[in-house]
Amino acid sequence: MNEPTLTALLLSLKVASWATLINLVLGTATGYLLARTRFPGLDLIDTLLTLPMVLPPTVLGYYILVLVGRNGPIGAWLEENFGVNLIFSWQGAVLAASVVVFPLVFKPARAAFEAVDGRYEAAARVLGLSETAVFFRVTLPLAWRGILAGVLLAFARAMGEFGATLMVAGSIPGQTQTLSVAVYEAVQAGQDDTATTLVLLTSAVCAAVLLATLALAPGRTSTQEARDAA
Amino acid sequence: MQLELAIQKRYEQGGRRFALDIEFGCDTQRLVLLGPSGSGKSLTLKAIAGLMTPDAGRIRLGGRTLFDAARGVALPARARKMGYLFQDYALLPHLTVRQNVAFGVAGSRWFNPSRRVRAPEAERWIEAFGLGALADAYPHTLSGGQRQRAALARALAAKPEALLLDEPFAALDAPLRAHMRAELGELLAQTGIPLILISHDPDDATAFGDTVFTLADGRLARQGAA
Repeated sequence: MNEPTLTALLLSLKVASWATLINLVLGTATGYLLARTRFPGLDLIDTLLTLPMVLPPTVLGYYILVLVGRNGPIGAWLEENFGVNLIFSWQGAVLAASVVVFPLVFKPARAAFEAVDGRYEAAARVLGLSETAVFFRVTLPLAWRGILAGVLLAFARAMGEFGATLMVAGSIPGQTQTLSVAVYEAVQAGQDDTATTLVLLTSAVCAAVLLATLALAPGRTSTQEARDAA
Repeated sequence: MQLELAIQKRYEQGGRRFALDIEFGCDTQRLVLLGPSGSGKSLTLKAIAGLMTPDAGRIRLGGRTLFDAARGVALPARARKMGYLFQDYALLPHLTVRQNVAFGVAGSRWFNPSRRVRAPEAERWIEAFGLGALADAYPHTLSGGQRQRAALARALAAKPEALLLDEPFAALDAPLRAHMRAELGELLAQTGIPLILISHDPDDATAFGDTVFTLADGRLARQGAA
């Protein structure tokens, strides 16, 4: 593996890891909120948050550019207060990947929280636990498998993110050129050998993550279901 | 046990209405609420435990006001110190028997007690119910009677002021039911802990009903069994 390839791989791993970490917190919290609150407009919010799953990544990239670009409302605010510009930076790639994979985390998280039997939480409350303790000692452990499956899927998807990343972060070798962007550049430049290496590498990483997801997927090896069936 | 209870609660769901309007007092150690499903006995028990908030009324138990709508008092379930036995026991599936029994007396805000936990209160009841050999097993491997013992041990380890039992014997077959009834009777005699039991089975009223109320359609139908 030559050096540019390694750089692109490490960058992809870095971007995907950050996007996954951000979604682990935000996606799980959103999934919990939507699973436990009832208010009019809930379906609308769920729909809006699910949009990144069906919208073309280029459309998402454009939205991000409009909002976070130098002249966008969020971009101008960041620039003014922190001197930060996310466009054409690896942090911009993290933002793009985070938005794209968000539904992959929050959707399964919501389903996992909704599947937690309320009697377990009631039992914990009667035994004297605070609401925080009920969440961390009962709700989260029982929903964990479903959340983790979504998180791993999100990591694999973030590894392969292309459209939104290219629009927001561009393709600067060594800075924002992730594996998938590098594949595109290699093909454009007629470097078939480089493209082949990159493609095989990307496939191997994604296959490994999917394999892990399969092992954790609820319903297949879930001990919870085995217990219910027993 | 001094129990004064007067609660109202209205439900409306999908065109179906249910109104709970129950009032009674009791000063015996053991109380049985008898009634078919849908009579409101389960809701009444949940209201005492703090798992259901009535629209109006009040609940006083042993000199403590647990709920008083007029005065804005509604102790959360965690502050009521009730030992609640759920109908299917609600043992936590991700924890061993020992962790379950120690659940209310060990562990922190963030973490459950570890598998190696040895909390004296929990060990005492694991011992008393003969669960020592099963302490490291997970709930799904236990038989119905063992689950019930584990759930009772969990409730008792937290030193509750009263035991609230929701159809405790409904899931057991007849011989085991008789056995567990005897075991519970012995336990109550030894500990002197107050009991509120709800059931559809008149035999439970015979066994534990120092005071018996029969409920029907969300109301108190009569004192005593049918």
